[in-house]
Amino acid sequence: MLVLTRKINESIMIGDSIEVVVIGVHGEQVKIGIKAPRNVAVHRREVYEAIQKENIEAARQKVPAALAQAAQLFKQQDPKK
Amino acid sequence: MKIQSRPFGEIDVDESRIITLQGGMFGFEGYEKYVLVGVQDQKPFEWIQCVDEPSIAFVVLQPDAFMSGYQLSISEADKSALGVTAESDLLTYVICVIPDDMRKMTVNLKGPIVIHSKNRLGRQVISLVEQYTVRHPLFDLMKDGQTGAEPEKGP
Repeated sequence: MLVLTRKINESIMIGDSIEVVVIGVHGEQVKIGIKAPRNVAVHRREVYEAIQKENIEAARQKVPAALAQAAQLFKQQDPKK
Repeated sequence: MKIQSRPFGEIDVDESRIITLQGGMFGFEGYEKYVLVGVQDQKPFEWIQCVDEPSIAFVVLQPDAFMSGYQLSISEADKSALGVTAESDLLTYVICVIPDDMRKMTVNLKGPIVIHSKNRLGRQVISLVEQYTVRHPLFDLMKDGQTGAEPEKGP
């Protein structure tokens, strides 16, 4: 991993279209600004990890037989019915 | 073609119904071919079943079934990968986790699966709506009607 030291308001270019700016440092928190083209997705890493974990749990659950029961429960809760 | 499914054993699916989820699901990268299967007595729940691996299957719901005003709000990168300009061209499904106590089942509003109905291309995306999480109790959402969430403000 490339490690660089930056001061507040200094930035890093990734390629020629993505800029990462250090906006501020408060104790353990670092505020970072990211300028990227609209076709580049930027998300916090925890979000990826949370979705991954949730997918694995969803795929592991043993529901096939119980899903009709869940559907019954759903219909009971549905205010539209 | 015949495939093995987790919920229903061997099933026959028309090849035209196969969906390509670009890059696969988070945590299941590499498996891109899926098919939506559902049966009447499980409605509104459906399954997204992996074509190449029977053990990979997810219970899904369309948000309209349980809340009004679900906001997709996905990145331009996701939209251009799917070849759509408007989110309204996409079908949206959220994944359910159903514990033993089914009243506590949750839905993942943060990481929906979106499918372009015309070319059957889809992907699991990250909603930019800040209030959405991967684990909302489904029946609480149904009671509230909607979450009143607003999209995350730009920088």
